Amino acid sequence: MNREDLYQSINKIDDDILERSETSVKKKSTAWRKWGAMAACLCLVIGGIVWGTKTLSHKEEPSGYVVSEKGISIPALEVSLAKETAAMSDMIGFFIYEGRCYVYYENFSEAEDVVGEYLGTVTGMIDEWTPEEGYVDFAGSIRGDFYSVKGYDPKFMLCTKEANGIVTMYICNNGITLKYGKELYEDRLHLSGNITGVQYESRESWFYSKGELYELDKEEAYIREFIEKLDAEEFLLCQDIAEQEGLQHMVDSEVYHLYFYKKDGTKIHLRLHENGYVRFQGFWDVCVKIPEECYDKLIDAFMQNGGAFE
Amino acid sequence: MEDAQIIELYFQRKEEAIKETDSKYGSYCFAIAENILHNTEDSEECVSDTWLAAWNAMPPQRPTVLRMFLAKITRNLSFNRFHAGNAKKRGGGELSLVLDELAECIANESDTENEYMAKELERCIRLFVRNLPEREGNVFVRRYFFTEPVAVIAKRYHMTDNHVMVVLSRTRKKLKAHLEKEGYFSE
Repeated sequence: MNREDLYQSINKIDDDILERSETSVKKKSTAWRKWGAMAACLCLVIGGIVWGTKTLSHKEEPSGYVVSEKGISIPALEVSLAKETAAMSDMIGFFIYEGRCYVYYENFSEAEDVVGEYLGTVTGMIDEWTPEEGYVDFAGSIRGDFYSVKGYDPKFMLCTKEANGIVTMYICNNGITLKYGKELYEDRLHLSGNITGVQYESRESWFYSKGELYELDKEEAYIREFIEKLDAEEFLLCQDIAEQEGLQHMVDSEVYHLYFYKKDGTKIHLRLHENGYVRFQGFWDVCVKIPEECYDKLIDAFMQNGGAFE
Repeated sequence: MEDAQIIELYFQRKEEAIKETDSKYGSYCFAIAENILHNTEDSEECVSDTWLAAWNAMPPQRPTVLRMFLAKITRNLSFNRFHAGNAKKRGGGELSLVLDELAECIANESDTENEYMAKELERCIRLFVRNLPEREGNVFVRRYFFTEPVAVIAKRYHMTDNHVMVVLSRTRKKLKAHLEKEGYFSE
């Protein structure tokens, strides 16, 4: 065996371990505007989480997440702009507009009608032509025109569209504070009253792109109750929950994916975990806990409907 | 476009698959190649070769994680190109450092063993990395799979350069001990 053999054998490391090294990027809290002035280097850092106990009125952890009476403050993504690390940032679709960082959420094939007014063009990564006092709006890991999304706050959601009609949504999932589910699911995503269909699939189906989707009746009481609880419950930090549950990652307890299809052609993608925890696809590090009775009704419906685990 | 849709395009033998892959993962694969080759032209060629290899592999292969599937192809092709000579002759580069570091994990270098032994080594490394504590494993992967410079890893995980080097050094010692235990240096 020689060094080259060893290097080549590393090529067979499992995909989940490789992926983990990309997703568990930690972030330290820094002022949002700081990167603008620090345009010497570019790296996209996604916040990790350290728990701030609710018994404290305000607690800021090294990761930058703050838990206070106002809720959980998700730190702004720190984007710095160095050539040597620019490629790293390409791993995640994002762009910057009016000082906010919008991150890839989902593609939609039937949402052309929601594309609003043209707001600008993402010009790709900042490079050597960036001024020292770098005004980095319109920089990002994608390229192309972007638009507002009709019916949504442009501070929260923007989109791009392709010639083939695919609309890609980007959400600003950082630099905000959330306390109750309602602030995300109603105030920003306008879930209630706009649902045209509900589907779910197992984690396995989603992970392997099997497309084994099952329908639920959107008028069922347990759906209504689930949404009420989703809105009413407080946000929790996933890392805290993972620790409590003895998990290495929150994703280890993921069991289903639930989709609420909306009138405007978009959908709200939820990840359901054991013991009632629910995450929104666009917000990786926070979740709400649905009360057991309510959650069990939904899972029972899956069991009766098909595609459910034993 | 979702990965599943892209993979489906490969299975339907539609050339759009390559365009979509390039659009979604071009920069990502280029970064991997560039870390290894430190040459834009070579790296771009490796990325193009990656698309061809992906086209030839799918079908029959259906990757579970397309990004990592492509990453592995790019890494492999870039390494082969490096090994072929051009990049090597230019000297330096992150891969040379990485290979030197990996040499520390080996008691005495010898010629490549048979295919069975290579497979065993892959299994051994896979298990070793899987059993590392998360941060140690992540740092190891960024350095020895993605060939990232220490400074980039430090920035990624909010560590100092020195701390990263200490973690890597400790992990290499562990790996050497692991390989010894598995009988790789018995002769």
